[in-house]
Parts: sequence; structure tokens; C-alpha cells
Amino acid sequence: MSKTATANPPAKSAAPRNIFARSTNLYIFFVLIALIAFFSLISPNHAFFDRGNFVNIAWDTAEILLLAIGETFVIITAGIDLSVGTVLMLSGVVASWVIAQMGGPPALVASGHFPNAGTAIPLGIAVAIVIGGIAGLINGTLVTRLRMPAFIVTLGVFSIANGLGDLVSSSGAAGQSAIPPVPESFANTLGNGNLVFGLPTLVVIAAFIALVTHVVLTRTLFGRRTFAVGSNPEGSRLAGVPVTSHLIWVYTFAGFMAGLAGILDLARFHATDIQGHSLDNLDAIAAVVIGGTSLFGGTGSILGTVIGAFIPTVLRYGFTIQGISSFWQDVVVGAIIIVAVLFDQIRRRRVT
Amino acid sequence: MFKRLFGVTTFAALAGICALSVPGAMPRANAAAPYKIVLIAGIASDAFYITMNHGAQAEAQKDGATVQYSGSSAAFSPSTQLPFLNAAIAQKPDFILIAPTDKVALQAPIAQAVAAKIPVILVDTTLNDPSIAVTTISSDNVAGGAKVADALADAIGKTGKVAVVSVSPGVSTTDERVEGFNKQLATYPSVKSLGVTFTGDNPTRANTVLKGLVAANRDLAGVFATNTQTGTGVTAASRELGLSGKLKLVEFDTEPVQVEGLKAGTITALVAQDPYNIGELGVRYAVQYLKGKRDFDKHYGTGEAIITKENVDSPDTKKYLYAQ
Repeated sequence: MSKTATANPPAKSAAPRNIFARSTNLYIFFVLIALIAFFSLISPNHAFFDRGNFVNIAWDTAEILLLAIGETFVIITAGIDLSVGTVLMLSGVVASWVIAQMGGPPALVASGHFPNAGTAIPLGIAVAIVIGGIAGLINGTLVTRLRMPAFIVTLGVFSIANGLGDLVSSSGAAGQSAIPPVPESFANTLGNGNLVFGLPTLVVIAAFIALVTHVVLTRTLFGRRTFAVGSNPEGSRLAGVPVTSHLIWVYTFAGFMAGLAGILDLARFHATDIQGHSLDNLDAIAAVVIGGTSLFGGTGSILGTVIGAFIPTVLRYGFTIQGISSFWQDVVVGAIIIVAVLFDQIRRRRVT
Repeated sequence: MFKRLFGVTTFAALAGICALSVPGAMPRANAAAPYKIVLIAGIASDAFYITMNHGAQAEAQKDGATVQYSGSSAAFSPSTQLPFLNAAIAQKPDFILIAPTDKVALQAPIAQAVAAKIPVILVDTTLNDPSIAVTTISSDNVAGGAKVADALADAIGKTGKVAVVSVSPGVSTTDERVEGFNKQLATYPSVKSLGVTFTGDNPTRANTVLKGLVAANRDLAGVFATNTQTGTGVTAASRELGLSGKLKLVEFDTEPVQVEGLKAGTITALVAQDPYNIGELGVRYAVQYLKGKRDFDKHYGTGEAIITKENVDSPDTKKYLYAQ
């Protein structure tokens, strides 16, 4: 897990924090296992304990997990990114617009035929990821170079991305569809396809990225610097860490992940929903916080975020299978967030 | 003398400016100037309201009026809609068309517009006391819900379990759709409803909910999704579960992504409202009112249609498909 602190000279009292970080991960992991066991036992005919059900849970978690992985890096640096959900939406909307424009003659595209799909789809994917990256670059630049609070900057970008997405999606002439659904080939491979072991492509991509970012965060200079900047920016600067450029990279990475999630969401649902993503940012932050990453910066892990992203989905499935009102799930997730932050507070009090 | 003349001119000038700046307070001097109408949507970015706006704009061109389209792009709620209504009142347009996002919360603010001598027509949604408005224009959501019940019961051979996935309680349109659905479904004794699950305007949650319902009820035969967002989610879930065409889906609204699902066979039927017609009628009646007509009905209904794979490409159906 977090080997980070050992190679982290500017951090204060690294060793105990490391142990506690590990224990929070364990706590939350047991909560997840307990929830799965509980729902498996009580569900009618043990419907919860089923390979198909677990695949579905992973599928529904994957998108938020991608956002949450980017958010984990940002929060470890003691920052925040509120813009990820609407950047996801903007990336998806622009990508589908690009695919429709480049896909072929408008009349054919409107009827679901994309003769130029071979070039339009890669272009759409690239555009989505670039837009995400640019949004992140703007966030990072404003936060560092202009020394503005991340909360405000990313709230501004949240709103800008929301508005731009609306503008693009409503740009069609009267009675004409600006953005028809994406090509079948795109939806069936990236959105609804199975890559390996019968697992959905989205799940495989999310798992791969979680693995890579876990390694980056725990085994590389980039990861060590992320922790260092978060726990002591001045010390890091004195120790020769390029704090400004590092932070810009971290925010750009979070935006990049939002762009990637945007294109995968588009493939999965065949169109990007304008209204459905306004709370994704809070879902992503909730996953990070439940996973034991501290909003004060300096501690956190991808593994914790993975577990933190799974808990709300497990509750949602468990409650739906039991026929319990979906509103209770919001209540329980909220309580878990508060308890997770309480643990973080207790831990910090002991360390300092 | 000079001083006094100066005073009089100043007074005259001021009076002139006042008269100019409050056009609503004066009778319209120039009848050729276009009537200025503001259309306030429930969610401005929603294809349903965008289509309504297209209808309104087309009618405005015929009637010599201008329509300014406004509304929150983020949420269907009174708190996000109110600023747009207040801004509209401040502009003093000749007429306001509004889709109230709450039947109670918007009552007083809309009464304020009426008090400021700006007549109002309610489009799509309504108020607890709609009598303050010139008239109301909407699809009949209860009748639409009943049509869904018939279509869904037919699709599953009039026997089996069905579920409803809806947005949030308290939204008049979707509540009425469910009401009409439940009432009509009760006439099919062998169809059992699992009740309503609310998912908000969030396709990912609707997706999760449908998969959970299928996990708990392997014999689920049909689903009613009450709008585009829930529809998008359950359609994706059905595809992902490999139940395309086997699990019967009937959804409200006809956004491009839903029409695609219908053509692909994942969706059995769509119920379309006619927002384009709502927009057209709204502007037509507004202009008639401004020209002096007063005898309007309390309510004008626009039709709703059942759209299936068979009739989706027919010219009669075309007008029911929403633009985006």
C-alpha cells in the first residue's frame, strides 16, 4: 500500500501516519466485505451473491472510479477539483458532436450510418481526452500561478464546462438534431463490449488505470512528490521539488481522467446526458474521502479510493434488491462519509 | 424667465425619458413593433423545452412576435428558475410563457408578473391555482401514462411483473404519468407491479436500479421509465444485461438516444408528447390575447402518441421526435 512516507523527507512524523493510513484502508475494506456478506445473506435467494451482480456493480462503479482516481491525486496535494463531473459532460458532448460532424454526410449520420466512423471515432476520443486535459491545465494554472483557491477556481470551471456543454448540445438548427447517438460499432466495443474474462471494457480500463496509478503513487518520484507537496508545500519547495509544475500536472491529470470518463460514458449510454453529471464531482470526492484520503492533504491511497468508490454502488444494489427506498442509500452513504472523516480527524489528532 | 423655461424643459425631458423607459405603462403606440414574449423553460438545456422553443420561434415568425428563450440549464427547481422569472418581469415583456417547476413555489412569483400587467400562459407544467394565467397548455400526462400501461401490458402478453423507474416524487408531470399508468394497469389482473423506484435525473442510477431489480426478480417482464434520463439508464442496463428485446421497455419522451434504442429493438415503445405544438399554441394564444381576444378555454391539451418500430419513420410521427 502506501510505502510513500519512507521516501518523503519533508513530511513530519512520517512513520505513524503510514501505519494509520494503512489501518484506515483496512477498516474501510472490512466495511465493504461486511456489506457484501450482509446483502448476500439477506437477499432473496441470495440474489446479491451472483457473478453477474458483481460484474454489474463493478461496471457501475468504474466511471466514478476514474473520476475519483484523478481526484485522489488532487486531494493528496491538499487541493480539490469540483469541475470533474461537468468536464466529463463537456468532453462527452463535444466528442459526440465531433463524431457526428466527421462521421459522414448529415443525412446519413442522422439515420445512424457513419461511413467515416474509422477516423471519426478516434478523433472523438482524442478530442474528449484533450478537452479534459485542457480543463485540468486551466485549473492547475490558475491555482498555482495566480494563487487562487482551488475550491473557487474549479467551481468556476465547473460552471463554465456546464454552460459550454449546454451550448454545444443545443446548437442544432430548429427541428434538427445537433448530436445524434454515437455509431453502433463504437458503443458495442468501448461501451457495451467485453474485453477479457467476460468483463466489460469499462471495468478492465478502470482496473488497469487503478493499478498503474497505484504504482505511480507509491513507487515513483511523481507519487512521492504528490505526497510531499500535500503535506508540506514550503518544505517541498526548499527541498527542490518543483511544486508549481507538479500541481499543474496533478490537476491536468484529473482533467484528463474526466475526459476519459466522458468518452466511456458516451460509449456506454450512446449519448451524454446533460443533467445527469452535475453531482458526479461530489460522488468522486465521497469515494476518495471514504477511502481514507485526507482532505488536509499528505495522505491517501488509490486502493482506499477503489474501496470507497465501491461502497455506494454496493449499497445501491443491496437496497434495490431488497426493495428498500433508494433515498435510504443517500442517507447511509452520507453517514459513512461523516464517519470516514471522523476517523481522519482522530488520526490527525493522534499524529500531531 | 430663462431659469423657469429651463425648469420646464427639464421637466418635459424627464417626463419623456420616463415615458420611454416604461413602455409597459403606456398603451402600445406603434402596433407594427413586434410583441416581445419571454419563454421560461423548466430546464433550458432539455430537448423537450428546446423543441418547445423551436415551435414557439416558428409561430412567432408568422405572428410578428419575438420570443426570448430562457431558463436554468442546471436543474429543474424553483430556486434555479426564479431568477429567470424575476429578470423577465424586470424586462417588462408583453407576455410570459412559463413552465412552472413547482406548483406551489411559483404561485406567488407568477402572480407578481400578472400584477405587473404582464399576462402569463402556463406551458407543460401548471400551478395549484392556474386561474391567474390566461390559460394552460400541456400534454395530458395521465392519459399518456395510461397509454404506457396498455402498451406494456400488450408487450408482455398481459401477464407478468412490471416495474416503474421515475425521477423524484413531487414533479407534477412524472407523478401524473405514474398515476395514469397505475390506474390503467389495475385493469390487467395478471400483471403485477413492483412499484416505483426513484433515481433522480441520473441515468447511471437508473441503470443500477434496473440491474438490481432484475437481480431480485429474474422474471421481471417489463419496465416503464417515466422520462429521458431514466429511459437512457434502463435502456443501457437492458443492453448490458443482454436482455435487449426480451425485457420490454416502454419510455416517455423521444430524444435521439431513445429513438435509436427503439430502432435497435431494445425499447418496445415510446410515448411522445408534442412540445413543438405546445410552443406554437403558446405564442399563438399570447399574440391573440395581446390583440384583444379574451375568451380562452381554461386548458388546451396537445396530443401524445405511442411510437413503435413500425411507425417511427412515418411522416406523421416525425413531429413527435424531439430535437436536441
